[in-house]
Amino acid sequence: MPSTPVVLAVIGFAILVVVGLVLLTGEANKPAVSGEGAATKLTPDGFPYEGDENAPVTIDIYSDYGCSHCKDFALETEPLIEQNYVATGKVKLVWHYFGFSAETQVVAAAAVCAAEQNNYAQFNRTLFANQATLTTGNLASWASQVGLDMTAFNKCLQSSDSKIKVQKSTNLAYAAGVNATPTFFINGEKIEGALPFEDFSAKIEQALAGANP
Amino acid sequence: MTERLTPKRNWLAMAQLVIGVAGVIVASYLTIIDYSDVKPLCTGVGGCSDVQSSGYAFIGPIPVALLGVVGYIVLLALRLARGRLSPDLDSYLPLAALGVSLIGVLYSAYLTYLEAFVIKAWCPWCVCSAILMTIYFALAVLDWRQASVE
Repeated sequence: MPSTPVVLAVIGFAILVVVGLVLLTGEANKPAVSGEGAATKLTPDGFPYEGDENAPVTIDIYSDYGCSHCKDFALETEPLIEQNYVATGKVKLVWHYFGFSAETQVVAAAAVCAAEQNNYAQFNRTLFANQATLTTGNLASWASQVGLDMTAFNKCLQSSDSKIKVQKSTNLAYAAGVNATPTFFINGEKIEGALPFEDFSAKIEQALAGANP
Repeated sequence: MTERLTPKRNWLAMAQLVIGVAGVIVASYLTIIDYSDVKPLCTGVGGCSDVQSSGYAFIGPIPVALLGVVGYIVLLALRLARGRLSPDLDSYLPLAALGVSLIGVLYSAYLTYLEAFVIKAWCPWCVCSAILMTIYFALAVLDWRQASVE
Protein backbone atom coordinates (compact mmCIF):
# COMPACT_ATOMS: atom_id res chain seq x y z
CA MET A 1 0.00 0.00 0.00
CA PRO A 2 1.63 3.32 -1.10
CA SER A 3 2.46 5.67 1.76
CA THR A 4 0.99 9.18 2.10
CA PRO A 5 4.14 10.91 0.70
CA VAL A 6 3.95 8.69 -2.39
CA VAL A 7 0.27 9.58 -2.86
CA LEU A 8 1.05 13.29 -2.49
CA ALA A 9 3.98 12.94 -4.91
CA VAL A 10 1.71 11.32 -7.53
CA ILE A 11 -0.90 14.07 -7.15
CA GLY A 12 1.80 16.74 -7.32
CA PHE A 13 3.30 15.14 -10.41
CA ALA A 14 -0.14 14.97 -12.06
CA ILE A 15 -0.70 18.67 -11.40
CA LEU A 16 2.75 19.52 -12.79
CA VAL A 17 2.02 17.53 -15.97
CA VAL A 18 -1.28 19.40 -16.42
CA VAL A 19 0.42 22.78 -15.89
CA GLY A 20 2.97 21.76 -18.54
CA LEU A 21 0.24 20.71 -20.98
CA VAL A 22 -1.68 23.95 -20.41
CA LEU A 23 1.47 26.01 -21.01
CA LEU A 24 2.27 24.03 -24.16
CA THR A 25 -1.27 24.45 -25.47
CA GLY A 26 -1.08 28.20 -24.88
CA GLU A 27 2.42 28.36 -26.40
CA ALA A 28 1.20 26.60 -29.53
CA ASN A 29 -1.26 29.42 -30.04
CA LYS A 30 1.16 32.27 -29.88
CA PRO A 31 1.41 33.88 -33.29
CA ALA A 32 4.38 32.21 -34.99
CA VAL A 33 5.10 35.01 -37.38
CA SER A 34 5.55 38.75 -37.40
CA GLY A 35 2.78 41.12 -38.28
CA GLU A 36 0.88 40.75 -35.02
CA GLY A 37 -1.45 43.68 -34.61
CA ALA A 38 -0.37 45.26 -37.90
CA ALA A 39 -3.79 46.03 -39.27
CA THR A 40 -4.14 45.85 -43.03
CA LYS A 41 -6.59 48.13 -44.75
CA LEU A 42 -8.43 47.65 -48.04
CA THR A 43 -7.88 49.59 -51.24
CA PRO A 44 -10.97 50.96 -53.04
CA ASP A 45 -10.70 47.81 -55.23
CA GLY A 46 -10.89 45.63 -52.14
CA PHE A 47 -7.26 44.48 -51.95
CA PRO A 48 -5.46 44.47 -48.62
CA TYR A 49 -2.65 46.96 -48.25
CA GLU A 50 -0.19 48.09 -45.65
CA GLY A 51 1.47 51.48 -45.31
CA ASP A 52 0.67 55.08 -46.11
CA GLU A 53 -2.02 55.18 -48.77
CA ASN A 54 -0.21 58.12 -50.39
CA ALA A 55 3.25 56.49 -50.26
CA PRO A 56 5.36 57.42 -53.32
CA VAL A 57 6.03 53.76 -54.18
CA THR A 58 3.45 51.00 -54.50
CA ILE A 59 4.43 47.36 -54.68
CA ASP A 60 1.69 45.09 -56.02
CA ILE A 61 2.27 41.50 -54.92
CA TYR A 62 0.96 38.39 -56.68
CA SER A 63 1.65 35.15 -54.80
CA ASP A 64 0.27 31.63 -54.83
CA TYR A 65 -0.03 29.74 -51.53
CA GLY A 66 1.43 26.62 -53.11
CA CYS A 67 4.55 28.37 -54.34
CA SER A 68 7.74 27.93 -52.29
CA HIS A 69 9.44 31.09 -53.64
CA CYS A 70 6.34 33.07 -52.60
CA LYS A 71 6.86 31.66 -49.12
CA ASP A 72 10.50 32.81 -49.16
CA PHE A 73 9.43 36.31 -50.13
CA ALA A 74 6.61 36.49 -47.57
CA LEU A 75 8.72 35.27 -44.67
CA GLU A 76 12.14 36.71 -45.46
CA THR A 77 12.01 39.72 -47.77
CA GLU A 78 8.60 41.20 -47.06
CA PRO A 79 9.31 41.85 -43.33
CA LEU A 80 12.51 43.72 -44.32
CA ILE A 81 10.60 45.86 -46.82
CA GLU A 82 8.06 46.58 -44.10
CA GLN A 83 10.72 47.62 -41.60
CA ASN A 84 12.78 49.71 -44.01
CA TYR A 85 10.22 51.23 -46.33
CA VAL A 86 6.62 50.69 -45.22
CA ALA A 87 7.24 51.86 -41.65
CA THR A 88 8.93 55.00 -42.99
CA GLY A 89 5.97 55.84 -45.25
CA LYS A 90 7.91 55.35 -48.48
CA VAL A 91 6.23 52.17 -49.71
CA LYS A 92 2.71 50.80 -49.80
CA LEU A 93 2.36 47.00 -50.14
CA VAL A 94 -0.75 45.81 -51.95
CA TRP A 95 -1.53 42.09 -51.99
CA HIS A 96 -3.61 40.71 -54.84
CA TYR A 97 -5.67 37.56 -54.33
CA PHE A 98 -4.34 34.93 -56.65
CA GLY A 99 -4.28 31.17 -57.11
CA PHE A 100 -3.17 28.96 -59.98
CA SER A 101 -5.14 25.92 -58.78
CA ALA A 102 -8.62 25.39 -57.35
CA GLU A 103 -7.03 24.48 -53.99
CA THR A 104 -4.85 27.56 -53.67
CA GLN A 105 -7.81 29.69 -54.75
CA VAL A 106 -9.72 28.32 -51.74
CA VAL A 107 -6.75 29.29 -49.55
CA ALA A 108 -6.76 32.74 -51.14
CA ALA A 109 -10.50 32.96 -50.37
CA ALA A 110 -9.61 32.39 -46.71
CA ALA A 111 -7.15 35.28 -47.04
CA VAL A 112 -10.01 37.43 -48.37
CA CYS A 113 -11.89 36.60 -45.16
CA ALA A 114 -8.86 37.60 -43.05
CA ALA A 115 -8.54 40.85 -45.01
CA GLU A 116 -12.16 41.65 -44.19
CA GLN A 117 -11.11 41.52 -40.55
CA ASN A 118 -8.12 43.78 -41.29
CA ASN A 119 -5.70 41.00 -40.44
CA TYR A 120 -4.42 39.99 -43.86
CA ALA A 121 -0.67 40.41 -43.34
CA GLN A 122 -0.38 38.18 -40.29
CA PHE A 123 -2.74 35.54 -41.70
CA ASN A 124 -0.91 35.57 -45.03
CA ARG A 125 2.42 34.91 -43.32
CA THR A 126 0.95 32.28 -41.05
CA LEU A 127 -0.34 30.42 -44.12
CA PHE A 128 3.06 30.60 -45.79
CA ALA A 129 4.84 29.61 -42.57
CA ASN A 130 2.66 26.50 -42.45
CA GLN A 131 2.73 25.83 -46.19
CA ALA A 132 3.90 22.22 -45.68
CA THR A 133 0.80 21.28 -43.69
CA LEU A 134 -1.63 23.70 -45.30
CA THR A 135 -4.83 22.10 -46.63
CA THR A 136 -8.21 23.47 -47.60
CA GLY A 137 -9.51 21.58 -44.55
CA ASN A 138 -7.38 23.22 -41.85
CA LEU A 139 -7.71 26.90 -42.80
CA ALA A 140 -9.80 27.67 -39.73
CA SER A 141 -6.97 26.43 -37.54
CA TRP A 142 -4.62 29.15 -38.80
CA ALA A 143 -7.42 31.73 -38.68
CA SER A 144 -7.98 30.87 -35.05
CA GLN A 145 -4.24 31.09 -34.39
CA VAL A 146 -4.08 34.71 -35.55
CA GLY A 147 -7.15 35.57 -33.51
CA LEU A 148 -9.75 36.08 -36.21
CA ASP A 149 -13.44 36.15 -35.29
CA MET A 150 -14.17 32.53 -36.19
CA THR A 151 -17.92 32.93 -36.69
CA ALA A 152 -17.36 35.72 -39.21
CA PHE A 153 -14.45 33.85 -40.81
CA ASN A 154 -16.39 30.61 -41.29
CA LYS A 155 -19.41 32.47 -42.64
CA CYS A 156 -17.19 34.38 -45.07
CA LEU A 157 -15.31 31.26 -46.20
CA GLN A 158 -18.52 29.35 -46.83
CA SER A 159 -20.00 32.17 -48.89
CA SER A 160 -19.36 32.25 -52.62
CA ASP A 161 -18.40 35.96 -52.44
CA SER A 162 -14.85 35.30 -51.24
CA LYS A 163 -14.25 32.68 -53.96
CA ILE A 164 -15.70 34.93 -56.67
CA LYS A 165 -13.42 37.74 -55.47
CA VAL A 166 -10.38 35.46 -55.84
CA GLN A 167 -11.51 34.27 -59.26
CA LYS A 168 -11.98 37.84 -60.51
CA SER A 169 -8.68 38.94 -59.02
CA THR A 170 -6.88 35.97 -60.59
CA ASN A 171 -8.38 36.82 -64.00
CA LEU A 172 -7.25 40.44 -63.60
CA ALA A 173 -3.76 39.21 -62.74
CA TYR A 174 -3.57 37.08 -65.88
CA ALA A 175 -4.74 40.09 -67.88
CA ALA A 176 -1.98 42.19 -66.27
CA GLY A 177 0.60 39.66 -67.45
CA VAL A 178 1.09 37.57 -64.32
CA ASN A 179 1.99 34.07 -65.44
CA ALA A 180 4.43 33.06 -62.71
CA THR A 181 4.65 33.66 -58.99
CA PRO A 182 5.78 35.60 -57.18
CA THR A 183 5.31 38.57 -59.47
CA PHE A 184 5.58 42.17 -58.35
CA PHE A 185 4.86 45.52 -59.88
CA ILE A 186 6.93 48.32 -58.34
CA ASN A 187 5.18 51.49 -59.45
CA GLY A 188 4.08 49.52 -62.49
CA GLU A 189 7.44 47.92 -63.32
CA LYS A 190 7.09 44.15 -63.48
CA ILE A 191 9.52 41.97 -61.51
CA GLU A 192 9.37 38.18 -61.36
CA GLY A 193 10.82 35.91 -58.70
CA ALA A 194 11.69 36.12 -55.02
CA LEU A 195 14.62 38.48 -55.37
CA PRO A 196 16.74 39.15 -52.28
CA PHE A 197 15.97 42.24 -50.22
CA GLU A 198 19.02 44.08 -51.63
CA ASP A 199 17.59 43.84 -55.16
CA PHE A 200 14.19 45.03 -53.96
CA SER A 201 15.86 47.84 -52.08
CA ALA A 202 17.66 48.98 -55.26
CA LYS A 203 14.42 48.89 -57.26
CA ILE A 204 12.56 50.77 -54.53
CA GLU A 205 15.25 53.45 -54.33
CA GLN A 206 15.09 53.77 -58.10
CA ALA A 207 11.31 54.14 -57.94
CA LEU A 208 11.61 56.67 -55.13
CA ALA A 209 14.07 58.70 -57.21
CA GLY A 210 11.63 58.55 -60.11
CA ALA A 211 8.72 59.57 -57.91
CA ASN A 212 10.68 62.50 -56.39
CA PRO A 213 12.85 63.83 -59.23
CA MET B 1 -1.63 -14.76 -10.72
CA THR B 2 -4.93 -12.98 -11.34
CA GLU B 3 -6.84 -10.37 -9.38
CA ARG B 4 -9.44 -11.73 -6.95
CA LEU B 5 -12.57 -9.75 -7.54
CA THR B 6 -15.29 -9.16 -4.99
CA PRO B 7 -18.70 -8.32 -6.59
CA LYS B 8 -18.12 -4.63 -5.86
CA ARG B 9 -14.60 -4.62 -7.31
CA ASN B 10 -15.84 -6.65 -10.26
CA TRP B 11 -18.37 -3.90 -10.96
CA LEU B 12 -15.64 -1.28 -10.68
CA ALA B 13 -13.31 -3.19 -12.99
CA MET B 14 -16.04 -3.66 -15.59
CA ALA B 15 -17.05 0.01 -15.41
CA GLN B 16 -13.42 1.12 -15.85
CA LEU B 17 -12.96 -1.16 -18.85
CA VAL B 18 -16.18 0.05 -20.51
CA ILE B 19 -15.40 3.74 -19.91
CA GLY B 20 -11.79 3.22 -21.00
CA VAL B 21 -12.79 1.54 -24.28
CA ALA B 22 -15.43 4.23 -24.95
CA GLY B 23 -12.76 6.87 -24.31
CA VAL B 24 -10.36 5.24 -26.77
CA ILE B 25 -13.10 5.16 -29.44
CA VAL B 26 -14.11 8.83 -28.98
CA ALA B 27 -10.51 10.12 -28.80
CA SER B 28 -9.51 7.99 -31.82
CA TYR B 29 -12.39 9.43 -33.83
CA LEU B 30 -11.26 12.96 -32.97
CA THR B 31 -7.65 12.07 -33.85
CA ILE B 32 -8.69 10.68 -37.26
CA ILE B 33 -10.52 13.96 -37.93
CA ASP B 34 -7.39 15.91 -37.02
CA TYR B 35 -5.31 13.95 -39.51
CA SER B 36 -7.79 14.16 -42.38
CA ASP B 37 -10.04 16.62 -44.14
CA VAL B 38 -13.12 14.72 -42.89
CA LYS B 39 -15.59 16.95 -41.09
CA PRO B 40 -16.69 15.63 -37.69
CA LEU B 41 -20.18 14.23 -37.38
CA CYS B 42 -21.78 16.95 -35.33
CA THR B 43 -25.30 17.09 -33.99
CA GLY B 44 -26.99 19.72 -31.84
CA VAL B 45 -24.70 22.64 -31.08
CA GLY B 46 -22.59 22.06 -34.19
CA GLY B 47 -19.27 23.71 -33.31
CA CYS B 48 -17.18 20.60 -34.03
CA SER B 49 -15.25 22.03 -36.94
CA ASP B 50 -14.57 25.31 -35.13
CA VAL B 51 -13.07 23.45 -32.17
CA GLN B 52 -11.28 20.73 -34.11
CA SER B 53 -9.76 23.18 -36.57
CA SER B 54 -8.77 25.73 -33.93
CA GLY B 55 -5.12 26.18 -33.06
CA TYR B 56 -5.91 24.68 -29.64
CA ALA B 57 -6.59 21.25 -31.17
CA PHE B 58 -2.83 20.76 -31.58
CA ILE B 59 0.29 21.05 -29.46
CA GLY B 60 2.82 21.62 -32.22
CA PRO B 61 2.26 18.76 -34.66
CA ILE B 62 0.52 16.56 -32.06
CA PRO B 63 -3.29 16.57 -31.96
CA VAL B 64 -4.63 16.99 -28.43
CA ALA B 65 -7.03 14.13 -29.21
CA LEU B 66 -4.02 11.81 -29.67
CA LEU B 67 -2.99 12.60 -26.09
CA GLY B 68 -6.49 11.44 -25.14
CA VAL B 69 -6.04 8.15 -27.00
CA VAL B 70 -2.72 7.59 -25.22
CA GLY B 71 -4.25 8.50 -21.86
CA TYR B 72 -7.16 6.07 -22.21
CA ILE B 73 -4.86 3.28 -23.44
CA VAL B 74 -2.58 3.80 -20.42
CA LEU B 75 -5.63 3.66 -18.11
CA LEU B 76 -6.82 0.44 -19.78
CA ALA B 77 -3.32 -1.05 -19.52
CA LEU B 78 -3.14 -0.17 -15.82
CA ARG B 79 -6.55 -1.80 -15.28
CA LEU B 80 -5.68 -4.95 -17.24
CA ALA B 81 -2.32 -5.29 -15.47
CA ARG B 82 -4.06 -5.68 -12.12
CA GLY B 83 -3.34 -9.04 -10.52
CA ARG B 84 -0.66 -9.81 -13.09
CA LEU B 85 2.28 -8.15 -11.36
CA SER B 86 4.07 -8.76 -8.06
CA PRO B 87 1.90 -7.77 -5.06
CA ASP B 88 4.23 -4.86 -4.34
CA LEU B 89 3.93 -3.38 -7.83
CA ASP B 90 0.25 -4.29 -8.01
CA SER B 91 -0.50 -2.18 -4.97
CA TYR B 92 0.69 0.92 -6.88
CA LEU B 93 -1.59 0.41 -9.89
CA PRO B 94 -4.75 2.04 -8.40
CA LEU B 95 -2.68 5.09 -7.43
CA ALA B 96 -1.08 5.24 -10.89
CA ALA B 97 -4.55 5.11 -12.48
CA LEU B 98 -5.68 7.84 -10.11
CA GLY B 99 -2.70 10.01 -11.14
CA VAL B 100 -3.22 9.48 -14.88
CA SER B 101 -6.97 10.11 -14.68
CA LEU B 102 -6.32 13.22 -12.54
CA ILE B 103 -4.12 14.54 -15.37
CA GLY B 104 -6.91 13.65 -17.81
CA VAL B 105 -9.69 15.29 -15.84
CA LEU B 106 -7.76 18.52 -15.12
CA TYR B 107 -6.60 18.90 -18.72
CA SER B 108 -10.13 18.11 -19.97
CA ALA B 109 -11.43 20.85 -17.67
CA TYR B 110 -8.95 23.29 -19.24
CA LEU B 111 -9.99 22.24 -22.78
CA THR B 112 -13.66 22.65 -21.85
CA TYR B 113 -12.85 26.14 -20.53
CA LEU B 114 -11.21 26.93 -23.92
CA GLU B 115 -14.34 25.76 -25.74
CA ALA B 116 -16.61 27.88 -23.56
CA PHE B 117 -14.64 31.10 -23.27
CA VAL B 118 -11.90 31.24 -25.91
CA ILE B 119 -13.02 29.34 -29.01
CA LYS B 120 -16.68 29.97 -28.11
CA ALA B 121 -17.86 26.80 -29.82
CA TRP B 122 -18.76 23.37 -28.50
CA CYS B 123 -17.61 20.05 -29.84
CA PRO B 124 -19.94 17.34 -28.44
CA TRP B 125 -17.30 14.64 -29.00
CA CYS B 126 -14.77 16.60 -26.94
CA VAL B 127 -17.35 17.17 -24.19
CA CYS B 128 -18.15 13.45 -24.33
CA SER B 129 -14.47 12.61 -23.85
CA ALA B 130 -14.25 15.06 -20.92
CA ILE B 131 -17.30 13.41 -19.29
CA LEU B 132 -15.83 9.92 -19.80
CA MET B 133 -12.54 11.03 -18.24
CA THR B 134 -14.40 12.56 -15.28
CA ILE B 135 -16.31 9.30 -14.75
CA TYR B 136 -13.06 7.36 -15.01
CA PHE B 137 -11.46 9.63 -12.44
CA ALA B 138 -14.40 9.06 -10.03
CA LEU B 139 -14.07 5.29 -10.54
CA ALA B 140 -10.29 5.53 -9.99
CA VAL B 141 -10.88 7.37 -6.70
CA LEU B 142 -13.32 4.65 -5.58
CA ASP B 143 -10.91 1.94 -6.68
CA TRP B 144 -7.97 3.56 -4.89
CA ARG B 145 -9.98 4.04 -1.67
CA GLN B 146 -11.09 0.43 -1.76
CA ALA B 147 -7.55 -0.79 -2.41
CA SER B 148 -6.37 1.37 0.51
CA VAL B 149 -8.71 -0.28 3.05
CA GLU B 150 -8.04 -3.86 1.88
